[in-house]
This record gives sequence, structure tokens and C-alpha cells, in this order.
Amino acid sequence: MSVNIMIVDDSVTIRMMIKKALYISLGDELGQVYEANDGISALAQIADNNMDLLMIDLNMPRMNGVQLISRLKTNPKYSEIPIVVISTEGSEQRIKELEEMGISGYIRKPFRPEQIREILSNILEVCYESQSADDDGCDF
Amino acid sequence: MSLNQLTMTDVISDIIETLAMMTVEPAEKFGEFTPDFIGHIDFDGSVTGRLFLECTDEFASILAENLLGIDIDGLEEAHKWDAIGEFLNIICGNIVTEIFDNEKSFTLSSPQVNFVEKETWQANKDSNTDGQEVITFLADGFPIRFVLKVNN
Ligand SMILES: [Mg+2]
Repeated sequence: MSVNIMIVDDSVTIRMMIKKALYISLGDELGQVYEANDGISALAQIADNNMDLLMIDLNMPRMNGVQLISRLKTNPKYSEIPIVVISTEGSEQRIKELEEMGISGYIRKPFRPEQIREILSNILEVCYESQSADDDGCDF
Repeated sequence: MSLNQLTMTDVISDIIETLAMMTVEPAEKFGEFTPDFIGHIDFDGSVTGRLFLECTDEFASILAENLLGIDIDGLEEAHKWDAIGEFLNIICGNIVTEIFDNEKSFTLSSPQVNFVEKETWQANKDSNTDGQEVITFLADGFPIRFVLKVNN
């Protein structure tokens, strides 16, 4: 199994920190890691590549995280890709909004690498289960 | 120290220690210092305002090294700017929810980071800071200052 993940964040610092946490968490199971610094660049790459999971920041220029998530969740081609939001915006209202949009997880910055590992294993476990039940689960 | 300043001190100290992996101590009595960088980010929610961060080049280098996990030889100027901006973004997001509102959401602007023009800085450093919360820390021995300005 190999999991392809895209990190969407306007900070190269955060992208590097997440990438490191992904290597630690997934080891050999980590496939391709794609990076985008805003929603527009993310959409272009998602159209051209197979992604198993998206990790998305909220506060970004050009197209922010909420706009990107809304585009993805209303497009049947992409609406099943699990999304984890990693953001500094941690109000109850914002988290509720995002959950209603269909995200699979939320991590508040600053994060610890273990939080990423935990959330990944939860999401990937759900994917395995739905795959073995011959459901239309995550596709890897 | 006001309640806001106490909350800011707690939130910022925690983030400097855990995220930036630097030792931190509040430095209320730390004298003047001229920063090399000044960054700011605006917040808009139940309250609007701006958070400033002033820091030295040494602090910025250590911050970038620790966040990125690379040593000083691999460090580029752009890494420092990005690290300061994201550090400010994270601190602001946490401060506004802790101090003002944990239920309603805040929108944050993109952080802006600039070099400090020493002459302009010297000329303006005593300008009025009424109604602003100012906190200075020593992080790994280097001074950093936060100024929280709330619009009325
Ligand atoms: Mg951002």
C-alpha cells in the first residue's frame, strides 16, 4: 500500500513540518507527497494526480482553505477524498462549519507530530474497513 | 500585568517552548532593543485589531532552524521570513481565541514581515502605545516583543 498525500499551506515552514511528520508516521507506506501554497495550485494538481488524502490550511492567499474545501466537496470526482484541516483558527464555530462541509479531521496549529500520526491512522483504518467491506472506500 | 497580558504571556510562552523549541522567559524589565524584523497580522471577528512581532535576526535564524529542522548552512533568507510569518499566524490565532472568543470564528490576514529601517525605528519608537498590550520575552536569550492593538 502506498498513500499519496497533498499538503496545501502557504507556509513552506509548515509544509516541511507536516512532510516530516508524514514520513515518521507512515514510513514506507507514504507514496507521493504533493505540495501547493494555495487553493488554486492545489486544484490544478488534484486534477492531474491521484490523491488519497489532503491536508489543508485555512488562511491562504488567492483561494483559501474553506473555498477549496467547498469546491472539492461539491465535485463528485473529488468529494470522497478525505480532508484533514490543519489551521490556527480553532473556534467552535469554524470547526462545526468544517465538519458540516464533510472534513475527516481537524488539527490545530501548533501541532505535534503524534497528532498527525493519530489522525492518519484513524482515517486510514476507516478506509481499510470500507475497502474490505467492498464498499467504495478510499482508493489505494 | 493586565489579564490580557497574562493570557498572552501563557499562550506565547507555550508556543515558543513547544513549537520553536526555545527556552523562554518574560523580560518585563528588558531595556530597549532595535529589531531587525517587524511582522504584523490583522484579526477580524467579535473584535478587530493587529498583532505585531518585533525580533532580531538571531532569533529569526534559530526559529527557522528549529521549525524546519535544518542547520544554519542550509538556511535561506526566505526561510526566516516565512518562519516569522507563520509563527505570528499561529500565535495570533491562539491569542484571539483565548482572549476574546472561543466560540465565534476570527478571520486572520496573511502575515506581513518587513525589515526594520533603523533610522525610522529610532524616530518612532517612543510613539504613543496607549491601549496596547506590550510584552517582551527572551527566547534562547534573544529579545522578542509582541504588541497587541485592539480597534475600538
Ligand atoms: Mg496559512
